[in-house]
Amino acid sequence: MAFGLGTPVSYATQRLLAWLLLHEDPAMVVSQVHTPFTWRLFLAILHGVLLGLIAAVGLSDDRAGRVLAWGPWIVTGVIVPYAVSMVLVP
Amino acid sequence: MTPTLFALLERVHGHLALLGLALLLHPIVSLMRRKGVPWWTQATADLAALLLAAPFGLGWWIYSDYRAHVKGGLYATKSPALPAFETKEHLAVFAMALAIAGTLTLRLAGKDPGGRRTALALLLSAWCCGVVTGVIGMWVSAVTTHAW
Repeated sequence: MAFGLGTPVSYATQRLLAWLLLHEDPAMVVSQVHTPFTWRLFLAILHGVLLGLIAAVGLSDDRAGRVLAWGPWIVTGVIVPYAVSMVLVP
Repeated sequence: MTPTLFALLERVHGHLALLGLALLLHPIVSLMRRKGVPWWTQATADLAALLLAAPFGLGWWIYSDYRAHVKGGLYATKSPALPAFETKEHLAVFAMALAIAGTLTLRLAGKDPGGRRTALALLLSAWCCGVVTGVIGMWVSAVTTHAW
């Protein structure tokens, strides 16, 4: 679950920060030498894996069970707003 | 990469993703109806995650050629497919990560009811993001490759 939340949240946050701070126009990708998408993707996967490892090592079975009991609400509450933001900010 | 190879890989990319989305429905429906996790539910969840991750990797591989040869044309014609393609990429990342996380959660915490419900939420979210990705992908593909 940590990987499933960490990767999309990291990816979307990076995209939103680029849009907010750099005023990055999606059409400008045409004239860019490197690909921000690739770096954003690798960094997001790295964040997701790290978060997954931290959760696997740091959470006891009891605590993990309590977190998983709220899992559907956490997944829905986190993923839906970020997915909608990615539709609004291509 | 030749245009023909690009077109071929683009179609393989789309068809594999469609197959992955169709297969992903099995663990979703199974988790909604059953209390346990039979081995075939885990197997189809694993295979669906693999079938979504593989075309994602293929799409990433042909992305540079898309940027070099296709995106410029979309930009020149001010096509609405250009920003839509960016949205498709974002949601594809969501779908891939959620599908992998869903099948891992099912494998690691499938015996716990909370774990099963969380896996279902992850897989269902992956499917929804994947369907939107697929619809946008078909639209962009139709815009960029006219029949005549």
